[in-house]
Amino acid sequence: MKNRDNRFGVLAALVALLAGTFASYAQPAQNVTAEEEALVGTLTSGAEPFEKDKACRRLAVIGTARAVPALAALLADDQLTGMARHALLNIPDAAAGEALCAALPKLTGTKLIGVISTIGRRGESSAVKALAPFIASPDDEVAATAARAIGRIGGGDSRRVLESALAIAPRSRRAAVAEGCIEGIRALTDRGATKDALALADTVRRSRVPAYLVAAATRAAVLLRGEAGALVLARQLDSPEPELFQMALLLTREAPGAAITRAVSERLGRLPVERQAPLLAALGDRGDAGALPVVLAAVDSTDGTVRVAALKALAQLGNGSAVPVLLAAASSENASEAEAAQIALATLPGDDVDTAVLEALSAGDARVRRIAIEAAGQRRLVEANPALLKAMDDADGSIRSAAIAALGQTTGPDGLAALVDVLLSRTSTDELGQAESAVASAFSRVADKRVCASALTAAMARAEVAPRCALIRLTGAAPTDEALGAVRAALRDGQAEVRAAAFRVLCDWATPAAAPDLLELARGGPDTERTAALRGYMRLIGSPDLSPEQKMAMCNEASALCRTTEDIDALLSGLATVASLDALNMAMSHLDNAPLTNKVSFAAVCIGELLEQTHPAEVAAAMERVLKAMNNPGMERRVRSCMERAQKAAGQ
Amino acid sequence: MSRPRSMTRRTFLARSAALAAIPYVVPSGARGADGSVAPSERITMGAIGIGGRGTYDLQWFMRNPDVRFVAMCDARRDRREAAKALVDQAYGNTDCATYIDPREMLARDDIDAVLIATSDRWHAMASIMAMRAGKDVFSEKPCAMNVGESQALAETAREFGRIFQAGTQRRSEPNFVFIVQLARLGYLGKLKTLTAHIVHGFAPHVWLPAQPEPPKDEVDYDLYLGPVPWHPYNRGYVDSRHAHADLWAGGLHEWGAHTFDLCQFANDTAHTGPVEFVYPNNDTSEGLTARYANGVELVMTASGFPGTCGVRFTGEDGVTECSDGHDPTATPASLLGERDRILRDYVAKTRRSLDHVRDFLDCVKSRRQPIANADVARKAHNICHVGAICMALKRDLRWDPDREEFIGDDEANRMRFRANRAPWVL
Repeated sequence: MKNRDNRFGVLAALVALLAGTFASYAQPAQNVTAEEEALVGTLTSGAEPFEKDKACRRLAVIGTARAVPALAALLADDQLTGMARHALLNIPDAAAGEALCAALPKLTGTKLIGVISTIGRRGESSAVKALAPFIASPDDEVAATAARAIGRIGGGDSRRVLESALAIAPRSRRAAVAEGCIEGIRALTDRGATKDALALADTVRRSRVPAYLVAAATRAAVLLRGEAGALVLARQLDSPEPELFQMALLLTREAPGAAITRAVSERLGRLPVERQAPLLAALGDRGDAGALPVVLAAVDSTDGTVRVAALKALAQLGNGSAVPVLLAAASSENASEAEAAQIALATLPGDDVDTAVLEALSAGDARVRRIAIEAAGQRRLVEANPALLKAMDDADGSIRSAAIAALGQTTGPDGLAALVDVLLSRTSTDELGQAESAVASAFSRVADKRVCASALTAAMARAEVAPRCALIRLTGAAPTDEALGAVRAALRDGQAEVRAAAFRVLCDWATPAAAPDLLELARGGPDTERTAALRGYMRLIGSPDLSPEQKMAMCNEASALCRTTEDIDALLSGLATVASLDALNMAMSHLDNAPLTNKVSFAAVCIGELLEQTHPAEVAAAMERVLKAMNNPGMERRVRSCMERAQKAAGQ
Repeated sequence: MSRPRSMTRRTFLARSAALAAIPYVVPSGARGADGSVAPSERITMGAIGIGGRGTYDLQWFMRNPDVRFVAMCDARRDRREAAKALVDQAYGNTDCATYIDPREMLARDDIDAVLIATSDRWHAMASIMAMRAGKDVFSEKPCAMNVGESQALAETAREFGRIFQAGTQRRSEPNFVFIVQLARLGYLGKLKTLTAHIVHGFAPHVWLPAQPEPPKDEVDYDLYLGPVPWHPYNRGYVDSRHAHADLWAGGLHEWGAHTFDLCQFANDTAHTGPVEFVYPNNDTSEGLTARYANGVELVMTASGFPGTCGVRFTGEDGVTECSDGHDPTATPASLLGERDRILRDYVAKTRRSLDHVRDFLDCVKSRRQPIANADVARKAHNICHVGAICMALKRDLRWDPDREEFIGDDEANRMRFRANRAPWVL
């Protein structure tokens, strides 16, 4: 992290340089001609290469035919050929393309490669004739670049040159020419010359080129054929060549049309089982319900891997009709199958799926009933609540537990009272814990926490000791004034367990409303409680709901109660959030306390960053002291930056 | 250069294919008889550019038992050797080969996939070279320096049917996935503003003073520069990718590659993009705003988040935010109670791993496109590219995100691509 900070620090310093770099791009249009003349003058002068490099970059943006001769003259320059090409690439006038073609016979090696590629990117059809001889160059890289450039240009001439070259290319060159063909297929397709593109794709497929290039051409052949491509795709599923089968998987996901789904579905059952699982995954991703019959059939496969793949695909393609299959599979002894089916039951969309799950809540088979309960919870089916509440009386403990958890998922504000009643009625410790979790889960989704608190307080008086402790603990998830009142009352409860639960929840209270209670406990409580209460109090200082003045007042109260180094450490965490000079001074007063120096430094820089513009002199002085005292290289840059900003703001 | 040939997934599949029907794509978890990963299941990898981030990525990959690195390529000897040592130590042998020139490494037909973790200038070119050679690619971000490179990257991935994952790992991190899903599933109501964390600044265009080049075995400067325009050698270029605008794409790309991508994800615009960019009248990019056709605004800022790479999504009914190292926040807070369920449903419906590298590896096997595939990266990166052009031209720009061209601004259109230095041409 330190390195990253340093890097970005350097960047900030470079912004000014950038402003100069970019300034030239924002010239008014009327000055452009004069600017171009000046840039051309730079290119034809004895200026340093860097100046000429900059001129080329600018001419790439504003240059016209007037700049072409000067740029063309640099194509043979070792240092500037690349930037000259960059400018010529972007000058729209045909003169730029002509100049590049004219340079071809004069260049060799990388300069020639660069010019060939630039001609290809310009895309002028007339250049194919000039490029064609280079496809037979003795230089492999020149030949490969020429093939790609010719392909990129596209058109009938391009196709003819590439097909001829592919037919006669020696084995070592064939892949390079085929790559050019792949470029050509795209260019022809973009021009609407589908027939030519398809012919070129089929030429590559018939050629003896590496399998990954045949696969690339096959992709084009399938997509360009439209519906008729389905047959070509289906054949690849049987290919002994892994690259072609893999391309078929990709195309199963990508190629549009019902014909593809049909062709692939028909082929599925005839494939070796090792190929069925990946194809089922591809059909699932494809998302066409037309494949549902074969996917459902695959759930009965004799191969476990295929069954799991089918169940996963069902999660993507299924509907209500798949629910019975999924319920059965979800209770399978095979963990992978059961998990796949349970996920499908939880996530498969559709009202018909909801209906089928609700019907299964009354199934006679307890396993099916439990799975349906779990699914209803995961699907948040409020309509399931009557059945879930009824399940509280089920003799099967696993059904009761599943129903409690599901209620936590399905219960909204209106059902909180009923859910709390479930908690009150639990007699076993396990189910009480499950019910407490379910209530907390329901609370987390209710925006108005007052509703949650009311549900708790209304039940408090009726609760036995153990459930009452649970209710008290749950007030922390609904930290309203009403809930805090219940906690205060519980601190005076006749049962020690309840008092302990109330104390713990108070120490973790989320809002500053608990601050006075905690302060009182920190002042007057027994030693065992004093530290916890003080920590809880100081934690609240970080609350965003408090003003700096309120926070500082709390820091003053806490400071007076600090007895140990750990106490001060906790205080510093609170101080770090207070935008106040008093807070800075209070933190700095502990700077010489050796075990705490780095903690003080951290708090001080946090406060300093909040105050560096309003109290720059004080912050600068404090940071200077911190820098001398601290021993944390990872934070040094942060402190120094704060000090420098403060010094700048103070005019130092 | 040593090139050991052990049995790999690629060679195993090719040999076996000639013999009988075999498992061409083997489900996760397949193991050899001794508990090790079977050759048919193993993904053999090479890496190009292994510095600090590359080492992090390398270790991340190597935690997966079905990955086997066999080759390291770097123009710097110190990095090559350190990476080889790391790999050899992990595998308890000395088999990892080293390369200076990526072309030599990519010519190996036993390598299935390549990790590319050079600095910005090489990402697109190396990715395209690898995919043209039939390899799948995991590339660090930014995956491209300009619009033209992003286009070429996506076209190559698509046409060659290669699996490409951009190293925008926050797309797979639970906290970010959760808040993205809050937006996508409508919990925030109609989206109004997307706020994306950026880094201020761009690198300068200055040539550092020329110095004598080191021996090629120590630093092959020609290969180090790769596709970027020639500069006279200076150690500063090698030590800091921020030393020149040709080497480092800039602050918008640095974090925007992540944060704009998350905004695109949340806004359900991963396959298109904003239509207008509003210049913020400063040199830092602070407040640069991109507007979508549906009225949603993407505001770029370097402040306001407790951690790095933060994003905030503001809708009519709620707000959510997340940055590195900090739990998501939401208003109303009750939305946070949906986290587990939303993530569970996301994983179930997408069948994606919430581990970015694992998602890539799974996709190499299934041939499904990963979560941050080349098309997704292309459109997200375009926001970085177009934003940088907006800052350079110091004016508002109108952008056609589908045709990927500026409307009514020829100068801006001419800044979409920079010709690469040969022979590293696109």
